[in-house]
Amino acid sequence: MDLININLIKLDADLKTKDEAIVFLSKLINEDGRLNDYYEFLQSVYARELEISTNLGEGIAMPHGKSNAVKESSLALAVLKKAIPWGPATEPVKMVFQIAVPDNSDNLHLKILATLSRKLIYDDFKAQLYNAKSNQEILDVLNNVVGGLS
Amino acid sequence: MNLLAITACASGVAHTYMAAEAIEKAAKERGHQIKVETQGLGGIENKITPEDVSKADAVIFASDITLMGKERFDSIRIFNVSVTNAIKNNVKVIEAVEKELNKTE
Repeated sequence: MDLININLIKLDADLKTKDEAIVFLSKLINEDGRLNDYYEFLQSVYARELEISTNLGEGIAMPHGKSNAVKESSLALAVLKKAIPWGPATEPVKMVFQIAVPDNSDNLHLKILATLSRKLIYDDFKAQLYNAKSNQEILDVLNNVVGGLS
Repeated sequence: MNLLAITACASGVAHTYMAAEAIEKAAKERGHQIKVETQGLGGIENKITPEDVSKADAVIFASDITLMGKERFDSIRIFNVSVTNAIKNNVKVIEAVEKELNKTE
């Protein structure tokens, strides 16, 4: 199964809080048949979020969960209608990438995080995502970046 | 110039790589050669060798935590910056290094 597909992308997402965003993206991943246990996965994301906020600055948050509750490694993205506060950092978040990987996936989530993080310093990359008009457009951009990871 | 850098952040992933990319991009834009080692949760990647050090003019430590293997750089100039600075002010960081090195040469 591909890491990301068109069902895991939401443009113009009307989400008002960090919790809404995490729940929304977890549901997308669950509805695409990629989780064994939705609630357990949600818990792993919150547990990680409590350790250190995943607000990376640059308008991006990257909540993630590594858990047995994950069946298929997944990346989901919501581009928000309006920027929202996220954790103690002062920078508001405009895009949320959520990563789900199974417990036995070695360092896959680190590879995804590392690869995406490197791209996020490029304004043109972020602009491509912010300005995308369709899920397919986003999918093409992201597949170019993380499509090869496994 | 021939530069080296090491990046490492407290959470061990995202900012380590954001800083690495930012410093690399800025250095190349300013016409320098650079090799960047990352010390993240995934371990040490793109490790800087003694040969790299022997050819380098300076090393930039972009870190919020204690770096591993600092003693490798005893023979060259060291510049310390925060990870945030490396990401947000990457070009200024490289310019500051240029200025300092030109002063001493």
